[in-house]
Amino acid sequence: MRPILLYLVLVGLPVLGTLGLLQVGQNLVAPISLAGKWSAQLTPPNPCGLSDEVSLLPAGPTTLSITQSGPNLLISFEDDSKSTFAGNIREVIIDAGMVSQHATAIHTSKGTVAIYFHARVDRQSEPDRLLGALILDNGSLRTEVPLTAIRQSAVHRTTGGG
Amino acid sequence: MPRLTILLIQIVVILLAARSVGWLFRKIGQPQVMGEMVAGILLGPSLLGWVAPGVSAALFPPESLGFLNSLSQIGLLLFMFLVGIDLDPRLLREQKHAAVITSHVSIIIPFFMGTLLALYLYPRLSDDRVAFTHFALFVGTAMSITAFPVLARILTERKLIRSRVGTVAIACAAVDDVTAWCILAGVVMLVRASSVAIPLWLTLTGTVVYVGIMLYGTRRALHRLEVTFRARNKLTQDMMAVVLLLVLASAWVTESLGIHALFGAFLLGVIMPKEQGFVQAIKEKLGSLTVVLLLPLYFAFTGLRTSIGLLSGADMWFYCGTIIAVAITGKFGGAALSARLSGMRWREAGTIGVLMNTRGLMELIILNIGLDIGVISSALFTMMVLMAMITTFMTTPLLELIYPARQRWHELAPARTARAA
Repeated sequence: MRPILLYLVLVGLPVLGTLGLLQVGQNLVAPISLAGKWSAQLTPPNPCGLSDEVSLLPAGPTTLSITQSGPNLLISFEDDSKSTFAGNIREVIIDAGMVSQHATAIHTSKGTVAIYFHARVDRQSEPDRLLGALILDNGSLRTEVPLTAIRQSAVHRTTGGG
Repeated sequence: MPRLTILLIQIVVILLAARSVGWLFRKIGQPQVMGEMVAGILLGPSLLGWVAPGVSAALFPPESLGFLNSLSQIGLLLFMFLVGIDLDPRLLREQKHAAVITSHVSIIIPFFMGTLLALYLYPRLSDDRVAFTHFALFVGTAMSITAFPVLARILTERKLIRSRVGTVAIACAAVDDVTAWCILAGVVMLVRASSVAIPLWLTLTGTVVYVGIMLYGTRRALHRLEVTFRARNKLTQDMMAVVLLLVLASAWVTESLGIHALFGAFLLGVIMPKEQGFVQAIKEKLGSLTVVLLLPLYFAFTGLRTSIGLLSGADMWFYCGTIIAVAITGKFGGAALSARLSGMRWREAGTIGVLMNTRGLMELIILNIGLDIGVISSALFTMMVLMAMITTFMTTPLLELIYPARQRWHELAPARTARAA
C-alpha cells in the first residue's frame, strides 16, 4: 500500500502540476521572432554634416543577419563593414547600438560618431519587413540613413503564445 | 583549399584536441568523454574563435561545416545504436519498486521543474515562432535526461556497477533515457507536424506501425542473426553489414516519419538480442571507430554552435545560473528523495541523486536536436550546454564526497566474499 501511495504522491502530483503549468503558459506572450537573414537596403541622404561617415556604412543592397534570444537581438550587416548592433525589441520597435565596426568608422576627424539602429517591424506584409534608419550622432550633428529590410525566408509561426 | 584537405585538417585538429584534453581530464579523475566535450567547446567561438578569429575562420569555414556535420551525424547514429544495445530490460526486472519509483520520480520532478522554469524563460529567451507547449516540453525533457553511457562508465571505473546503488542507478538511467527519448520524439513530432508537410496523424500511425514491425518482425530476424553468431562463434563481415544496414534503414524510416533519425538507431539497439558475446562482438567492431573518431567530431560541431559570447550581461548569466540550479535541484533532489523514501539510506540515496544528475553527451544530443528544430535559441542552447558540462563535471567529486572509496570498499566486502566463494 505504501509504495502505491508514494508513487501516486511523487509521480501523480507532479504530472498534474505539469499539465497545469502547460495550461497556464498558454497565456504567455513571447517577443516577435526576428531571427534569420534579411535583405536590407540603405538609402543615403543628401549631403549633410555627417556625409563622410555615411560612406562608411554598408552601400547598396546588403544582407542583415539577426540572432535573437527573447527580446535581445544581435544585428549584423554581412558586408565589408561587418557592422554589428546589440539591442532589443519592445512590442514592434527595435532599438540597438553599435558594438563593433572598423575602428576608423567610429573615430573620425569630427570625433567619435555613435551609430544606432532603430526600426519598426511591419508584420502586415508578407514576408515581414523592417522599416527604420541607422542614426549617426556625434553629439552636435545627427543624421538618419533610411533603411528597409525584407525577411529572406518566410518563418513558419506556430500558435504564438499558446 | 580543396574541401577534402580542409576536412582532413579539421579531423586531425579535432582528434588531437579531444585526445589531449580527454587525457588531462582523466588525470583529474574525470571521464574521458568530459574532456572531449570541453575540447569541442574550446575549438568553437567560445575560445578559438574569440582568441584567434582568423585561425578559426580558416580552419572551420562555414561552407565546410556541412561535411563535418554529416560525418558527425553518422557517428552519432552509430553511438545511439551502441547506447541502445547497452540497455538491457533485465536490469529493471531485477530491481523492485525502488528502481521503478526512483526512475519515474527522477524523470517527472525535473520535468515539472523544467516546465516551471519554462514559464519564466519563455518571454525572456524565446520568440513567438515557438509555441509555449513545445518550448516547455523541450525544457522539461532536457532537464530529465541522464547520460546512461557516462553513468555506466563512472560506475564501472568506481567498481560500483554490482553494488545496490549501482544496479538501481543504472536501471533508473535506462528507464530515464528511454522515457526521455520517447518524450523528445513526441516533441519533435509536434514541432515538425506544425512546420513540415507530414501531417501529425500520418506520423503517429507510421510510428505505431514502425514500432510494431521493429518489436515483432525485426526483433525475430535479429534473434536468428544471434543464433547464427553462436553457431559460428564469430561476427562475420556479412553479419556486420546486415546490422549496419538495419541501423541505417531504421534511422531513415524514423527521419522520414518526422521524428528523428537518432530514434531509429536507438530503438534498433534496444531491441537487439542481449546475449553478452553477441553484444560484445558488435561493440568491439563499431565502438572504437565511433567513440575515438566520430564522436569527437560531434563534440566539435556542438562547440562550433556554442558561443559563450552570447551570454552578455548580468541578466543572461542569471538565466544561465537559474537553469543550472533548477537542473541540479530537480534531478538530484528528485532522485535522492525518492530513493530515500523507497527505503535506501541517506548515503545511498544521495549517491543515486548525484549519479542521476549526470547529463553528459545525451544532453548535448538533445540540445542539438532542439536547436535544429528551432525550439531553443542559440543563447539558451549555450546556457544548457554549460549546464550539461557542469552537471557532468560535478558527478565524480560529489560521488567521492558522498560515497568515498573507503566506504565503498567496506560496504562491498560481502559481495566480494560471495563472488570469491
